[in-house]
Amino acid sequence: MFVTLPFVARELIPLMQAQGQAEEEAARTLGAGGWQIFVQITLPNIRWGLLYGVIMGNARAMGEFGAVSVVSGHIRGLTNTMPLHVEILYHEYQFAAAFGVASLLTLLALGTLAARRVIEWHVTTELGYHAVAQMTEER
Amino acid sequence: MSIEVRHITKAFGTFVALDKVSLTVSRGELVALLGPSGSGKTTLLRVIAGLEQPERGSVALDGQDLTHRNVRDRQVGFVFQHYALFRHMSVFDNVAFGLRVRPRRQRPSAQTIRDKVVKLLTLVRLEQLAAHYPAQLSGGQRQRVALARALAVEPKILLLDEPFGALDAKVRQELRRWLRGLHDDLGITSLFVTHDQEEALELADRVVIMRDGQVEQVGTPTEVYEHPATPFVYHFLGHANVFHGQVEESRLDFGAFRLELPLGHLPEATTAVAYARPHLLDIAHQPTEPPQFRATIGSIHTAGPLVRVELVTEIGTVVHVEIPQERYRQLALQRGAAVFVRVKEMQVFPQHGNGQLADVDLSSQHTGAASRSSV
Repeated sequence: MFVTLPFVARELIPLMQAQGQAEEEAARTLGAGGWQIFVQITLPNIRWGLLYGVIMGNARAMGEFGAVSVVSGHIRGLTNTMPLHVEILYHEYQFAAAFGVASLLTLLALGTLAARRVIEWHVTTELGYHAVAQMTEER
Repeated sequence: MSIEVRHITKAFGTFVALDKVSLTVSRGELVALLGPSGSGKTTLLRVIAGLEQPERGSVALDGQDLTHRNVRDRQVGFVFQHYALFRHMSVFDNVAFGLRVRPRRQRPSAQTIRDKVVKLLTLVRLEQLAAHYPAQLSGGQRQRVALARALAVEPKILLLDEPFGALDAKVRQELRRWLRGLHDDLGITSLFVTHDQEEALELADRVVIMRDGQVEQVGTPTEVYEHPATPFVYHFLGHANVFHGQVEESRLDFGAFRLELPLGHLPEATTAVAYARPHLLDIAHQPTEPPQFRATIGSIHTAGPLVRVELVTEIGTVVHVEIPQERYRQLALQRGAAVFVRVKEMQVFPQHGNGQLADVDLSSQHTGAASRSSV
């Protein structure tokens, strides 16, 4: 969590800065309360950015090795990650299982890349509306 | 619903956006806040809406102090500069938003909401586009959605921030006329921000001209256009020819010409600035009645209802004159010709301190001048 949450934040902060707070202010003048604004306006506007951050955070968590190995003692089935599991299996001479897990990890990595591509496209559309608004402003 | 703003001061860091601004808007009025960018007009609008908290001063609606009231409770309709439509909602949902977020007890039924939204969309002539999303609309359509959305909550006052800023000239003209009609039908007290003097003069009942966080002048479009209180207002409200001069032997010497004026209140050697609108100058081949000065025709632009002539005076300054097409044909002006420019009307401001000014109407009485003090 501590390692991966910054990935979510890093994705969301520029997105929210680009979108500005005009829509939230509009909702406020229309009588919406703080929670209503967050759920009905802010969240839908950042949903793709948020998902992107989660995917990237998840990717980082999947590949975690050093921190888990040193800090949490990599107890099997309790505090373990896939790369650590590959290491354990390899040391136990279970080569087939080790390669199996490694392949699974590769597939997950490919899946993450595909998901990232799709979401990146959505994030650009989320920003797109604002890019258009800014262009009209400059004109 | 009337608006009374008293001694509002608002600063962003060291930048003073509003400096003791006071303003009263009467019930049912349509008032324009006009000024260059950075003059504080948008900040004033946001303070009235409650989107910004002033450091000092108060805002009251119908005599009720709202300075510390939440935006939600102020019942103001606000149309944002770039409309700030909810882009993940359809046009219908955008307009319905203000009604749907009401506390359950005050919320109208779904059917009432639907009827009301349809009525508003008909009012802004967008009933066909209810299912569209903001990204699918043109600028003018978005603007009307924003207006319908603001009106849905039945605001007591309507605040519009650069309502036509992001639209092209033709759409702007159309919407301007339409908004004026809508205001007259609904009778809702409205305040709009603009940097376009033409828009302010054409649309508003009264114009508030702002500069550097202060109100420069308030008046009807005719008042501010014909009797600008300060050189800044004169300059801002239209094209102006500027003449720099000095008081000498109780006359104003502008180099190119002299004005015989009873400017007893101006001491000798006071520097003064005279302003003359291009259409208040005339061109003649022969010397006529003073004040007038010699000039050479530089260029002539004949497109449009008025012919714009650019002339160079004997002291090398450029003067713009606008004359009707008829007058132009009568004069048969040529480039490079030496002519006389007659001053029909001009306004003289002493350079230092803009308290005193001379309002010179030379059309009735060429040597007469009416001096008055600005408020």
